[in-house]
Amino acid sequence: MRNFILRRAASSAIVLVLSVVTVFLSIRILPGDPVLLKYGAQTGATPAALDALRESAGLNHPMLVQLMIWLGGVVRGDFGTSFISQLPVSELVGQRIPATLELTFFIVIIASILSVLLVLIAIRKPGSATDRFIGYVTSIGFSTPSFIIGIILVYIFALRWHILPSQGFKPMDLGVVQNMKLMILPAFTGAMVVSPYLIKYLRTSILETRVSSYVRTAKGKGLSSSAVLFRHILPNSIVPTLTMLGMIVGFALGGVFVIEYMFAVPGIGSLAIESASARDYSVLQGVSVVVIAFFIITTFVFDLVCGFVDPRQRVLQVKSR
Amino acid sequence: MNVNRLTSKKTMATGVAIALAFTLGVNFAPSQAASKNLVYGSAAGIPQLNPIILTSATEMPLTTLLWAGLTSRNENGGLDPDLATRWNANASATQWTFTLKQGAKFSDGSPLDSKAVKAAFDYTLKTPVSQWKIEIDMIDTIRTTTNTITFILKTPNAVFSEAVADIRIIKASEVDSFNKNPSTSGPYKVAKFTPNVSLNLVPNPNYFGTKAGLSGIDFTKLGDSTAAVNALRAGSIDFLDHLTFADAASVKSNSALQLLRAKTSSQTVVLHMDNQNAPGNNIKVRQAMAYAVNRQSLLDNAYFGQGTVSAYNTVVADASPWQCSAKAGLTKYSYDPAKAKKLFAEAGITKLTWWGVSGILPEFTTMAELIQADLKKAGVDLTIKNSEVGAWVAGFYPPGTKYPGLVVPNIFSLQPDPAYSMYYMKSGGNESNWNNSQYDTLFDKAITILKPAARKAAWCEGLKLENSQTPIVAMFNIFTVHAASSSVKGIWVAPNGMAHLEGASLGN
Repeated sequence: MRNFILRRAASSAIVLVLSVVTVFLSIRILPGDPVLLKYGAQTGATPAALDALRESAGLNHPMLVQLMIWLGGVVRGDFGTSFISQLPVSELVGQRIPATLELTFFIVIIASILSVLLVLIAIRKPGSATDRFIGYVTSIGFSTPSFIIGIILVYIFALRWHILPSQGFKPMDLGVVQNMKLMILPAFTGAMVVSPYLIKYLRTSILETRVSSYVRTAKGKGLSSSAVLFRHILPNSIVPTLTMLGMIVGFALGGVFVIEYMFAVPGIGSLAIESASARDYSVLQGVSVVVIAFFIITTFVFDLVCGFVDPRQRVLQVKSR
Repeated sequence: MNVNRLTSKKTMATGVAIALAFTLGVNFAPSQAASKNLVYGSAAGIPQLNPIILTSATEMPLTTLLWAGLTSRNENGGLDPDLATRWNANASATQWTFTLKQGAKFSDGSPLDSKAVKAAFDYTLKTPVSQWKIEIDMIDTIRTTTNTITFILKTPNAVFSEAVADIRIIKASEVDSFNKNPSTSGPYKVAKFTPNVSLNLVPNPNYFGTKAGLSGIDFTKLGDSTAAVNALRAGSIDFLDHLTFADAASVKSNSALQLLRAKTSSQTVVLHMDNQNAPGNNIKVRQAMAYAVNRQSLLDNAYFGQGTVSAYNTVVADASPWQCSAKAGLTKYSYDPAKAKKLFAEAGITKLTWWGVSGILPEFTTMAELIQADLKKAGVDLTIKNSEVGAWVAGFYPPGTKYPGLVVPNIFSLQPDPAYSMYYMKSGGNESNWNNSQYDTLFDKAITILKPAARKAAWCEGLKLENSQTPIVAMFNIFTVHAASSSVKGIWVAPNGMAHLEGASLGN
């Protein structure tokens, strides 16, 4: 087990480094640079003045040198400074991350509850009209982008019925009710995007588990349907879904970028979009590191949880040495 | 009774009770606008607070809310005393002395005296690129006494008292930590700032001038312009910065709201062409463009009529008291597709490309389509290319960048005095890459003349040259429109579109 954890940690670190290097290089391909975006429109912004600013900001170094300098800083815990606000990147990310974590949390909770409920309804009679209807809705959910779902929800609940605000965010310490009210639409939007994946996996898993020999034994022993479902089928079906759930947590964190921007939630997603527009390289790189690291850690943790929940997984993990 | 069924019923009942309480709480939660603070909404965020650097239009209102100047501008475009109670210049306009108010302080209680003013000016002059540095870079020396500050200039400047209005007195020693909690010199100070998210201001107890009329101002960034207007209508915000032109009519008809705009405008919508590279280096092409665009139609359709046409095609508005017009021999560039067609044909031009921006300034997109139709009548095919703002800016900024064959829309928001707009047209300073030494000489002469009438005559010579050479297509002046709840009083809008909230209050 220890070797498994060490190997997994090493491969995760490589994935993290390769991912952030890719992000580092990709954003520098975009035309424009932070100096131009910040100062270019100002009177007196001559090419010489702008070039001097680029030099002092280290933007004239070869790309590899810039990368090494930045990576060196990251290893020391220094993610650099925002070129626009001159605030440390870690401070900017720290200001924004609570909103993203809260939104991601609600997305995952709502998606989990929604998925379990829908699957339980669907599998009561596999192949029935209800099951097929849930299947169609799931397919639509797979193919509909988050912003379309968001627009529909805003139209119905904010503009037609006026029961929820269309966008905005209030931290919990300034009002729990207001915070919850503003979280509903963005959280449901995200949940409806990720639920189809959970529904599909859980449904397949439950249908496979239903025909297992131990389930037939449990039924043969005279247990009620609900007892068989909740004590035997669901726990054994959860494990493969846990893996998917881990990916969904990471996916939700990365996918909330669009949702945050749509609903004006001041999280790291909207921070990433703002800094991309302003070519604020340090901030965008810092956000990327946070999101990628979070994704890697989350999937790693869920894999470990699977191992604890299902002893067979532990054996497989050890055998994979 | 089956224990499981009882438990599930209890669970359901609890769930219903929670949902009901939540819904009631949702509906009876106190409204945001019940606070006495003015809630200021904008579709764009505030990225930073330093008024000397100033990176976006959203930061502009903060320059007078948080900072004082030696002088300040008023609603009529004139100048009022601020930290300086009076000022005078020598006969050659090379030495300006300002007498300062005594006992003034920054918000942290430190002295706001001549030394602090000198430090702010020194910082502005040393800052590599500043929005305002160019206005004061003729300063040679700054001398201070207990109650005066004197600027010795390298070259004469007759409008120096106006230039210093833009230099806000910051506490220069704090620039490194400016975006956390700066010490302010204006009527308000910063309580909390999260870049691009929110900014909370509270009254500055140490302000030397008229005390703040609000208990606070809460700046909040809204998702987009539609959400912003909805928030205003719902009462969630009290003031909306930069109402879209499309929404102005609907807000105007709402009795609970008011529209705010300037009395006169110095915001000019222009088209750039690269004067150094083909085809923009051909005067016939530039003049053809000036005749080809139907300015009134563009104004009515893209800007909903919120402005006035610039028939003389200069950066000084037609309605400006400084405009010398046809009386001085300036040509009116009225819409004349036949004349434009003749000029384009003589220049051999049949194709041009529109270099616009997507995601912001939707009026540009409307203009692109209308100008495409106008140019079609003049025998020119206009290809429309819109880019994300970073790529758009990189296409033609800074001055000196080559962009042959492109037609680039832009907006200037300058002060109404010709010293600003005409300075912009000097060699090396404009995105049209127009470098004309004769114009530079005319400008340098006009800026030294203290007497306004004589100065106007001198500006006129520069305007005649600009009018004949058409380095830029100055189409019209627009009025930036802001909106507020009808309970908000005391806000005025400057000719450059900036809203002034220093004297704002919330009525009943």
